[in-house]
Amino acid sequence: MHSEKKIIEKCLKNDTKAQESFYRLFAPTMYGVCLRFAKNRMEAEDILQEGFIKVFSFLKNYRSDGSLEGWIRKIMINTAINYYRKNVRFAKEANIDEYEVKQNINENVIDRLAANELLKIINTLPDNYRLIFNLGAIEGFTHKEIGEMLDIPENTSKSQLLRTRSILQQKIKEFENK
Amino acid sequence: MENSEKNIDLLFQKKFEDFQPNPPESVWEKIKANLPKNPMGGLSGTSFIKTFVVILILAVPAYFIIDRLGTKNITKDNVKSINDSKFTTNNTQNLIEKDISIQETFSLNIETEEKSIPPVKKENTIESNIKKEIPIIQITENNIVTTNTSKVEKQNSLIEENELLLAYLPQENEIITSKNKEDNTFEKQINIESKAEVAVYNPVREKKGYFTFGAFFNPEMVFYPSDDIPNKTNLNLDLSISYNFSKLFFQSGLGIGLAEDDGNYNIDFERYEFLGSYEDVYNVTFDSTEQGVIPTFHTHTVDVYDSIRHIQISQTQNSYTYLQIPVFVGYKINSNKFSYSLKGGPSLSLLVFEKIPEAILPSGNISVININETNPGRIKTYWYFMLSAGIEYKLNNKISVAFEPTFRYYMKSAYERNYFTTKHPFSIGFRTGVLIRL
Repeated sequence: MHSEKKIIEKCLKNDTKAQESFYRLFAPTMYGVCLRFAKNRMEAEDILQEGFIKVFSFLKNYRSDGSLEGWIRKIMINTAINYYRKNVRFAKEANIDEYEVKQNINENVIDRLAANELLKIINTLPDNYRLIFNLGAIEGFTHKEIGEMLDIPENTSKSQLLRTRSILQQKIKEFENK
Repeated sequence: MENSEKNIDLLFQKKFEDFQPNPPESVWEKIKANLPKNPMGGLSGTSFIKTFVVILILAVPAYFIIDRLGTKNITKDNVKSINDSKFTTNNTQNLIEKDISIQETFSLNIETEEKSIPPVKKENTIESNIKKEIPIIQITENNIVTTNTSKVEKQNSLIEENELLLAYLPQENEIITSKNKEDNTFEKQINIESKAEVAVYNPVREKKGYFTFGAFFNPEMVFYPSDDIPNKTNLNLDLSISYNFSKLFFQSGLGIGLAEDDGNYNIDFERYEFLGSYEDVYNVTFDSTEQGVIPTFHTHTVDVYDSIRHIQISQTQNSYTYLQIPVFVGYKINSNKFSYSLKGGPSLSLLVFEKIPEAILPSGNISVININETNPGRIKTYWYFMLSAGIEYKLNNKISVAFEPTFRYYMKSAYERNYFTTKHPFSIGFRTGVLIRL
């Protein structure tokens, strides 16, 4: 904790070495987050880059009473939301009917898949579903929080997460059958 | 059903818990290129103070060394011709009394053989009211002063600028006798073996006191060591007046300090926005066909609007103007074209003008719920103590240019206490300007 405080102090003085150490400490975890929120690796790298620039810019606002990793993660998530916000239309759901809502997947199937394979499946989701699934299912935000973050009604968040789960199950099945 | 959903979520969470792939190196290179560079070159505030103090410590002795190099030396042999002299004059004591102030400025040196002093002949007698260039020996209870080019025009001889002076401080074993006190004639005998210290001094402008007027520009960087805020940059402009006497000087004047802060407003508002649309069925008609009755739904599109709550941050640039009233005392050493000075003292800062722009409201049909101002508040009056080491270069007898690294120690922060915890900020600046001798 002490070294974390020290590294932050140095980063605030724009010490490049400290900034690089800070980046290397958190970059792998945050890149994992970005890859889940992004459509592909290139966009994940863009989000990671933009997110870390924000982290360094707002580091002076970080108060040590919370988790630093949690604070950085929140910035990354917000950056990802903003990245896709302009393209996302939550009110008008396109091509939803092609996914049937069926909750009959075996959980062992998911367990058998590696993170990279699940990531490929998540990446194929439309932007709005991918955002809501990451926020609700993986990051654990409530529907109220998701609603505030995405500027959508709580019920929209609920219904879309439900639908996303169904879509994912269908896609996982397809992946298994390949 | 709900449990199944939760289980699926947990499975995904578990799968991505330790998912930490390494990003490509190019990402860091791009981030690095976008980060601000440290204007201090990575030098922290504490290191900067240490460097400043070291420079100061080195600079002060350097002043004295440079000053000494400007002193011309004479030899003991040369002194000898003076030491054994006997002088007789009717007015010498009067001369001495008039020029005691000069003796205060003499520096002392001996041991080199570079400069010869015209020997003073034994039994040399100076008559009053003569008008010719002759060496003059002035004797007081404590010392002897001689000049080699002085003009004796009156009984109270005037010593002109740039004349060569000789100072002598007698030691314990020297003998001073008076031959004839009634006519002010006396004799001085000096033991050559005594540790007489003699020096030649070239006084420049040994008037009792004079004023200088200056105009300065001083950019500075203010440090708040206990707070995680960026260093602030202030600009200071000032007009100063100094009274110089001997090597001391007093300085005061009026200055203007310009400072800026980033201001923030959190604007909580609602905006009436388009949320989407739906097809509203306003009529249903039924047609009987061979296949049966077929309903026809008649719809129209209805747009849905609602008030959506937002929080937006509006950033502004606040500017402040301070009136500064300094009172400094300093010490100055002259050396040919250059002067070196060290000065310090308190200064009062009064906030005379502040410009805090209003929050920039979001566009559209909005209803403001609350505006929370998070601008750092500044106090109206504060004191700081300034220390500076300066160097002046004389362009001519009237005008000089000056360069002064400055260090300011604030007696209290310029900000209200609830914003920052630093009690005593400090600043490093570089004051440059022009001085005019009045």
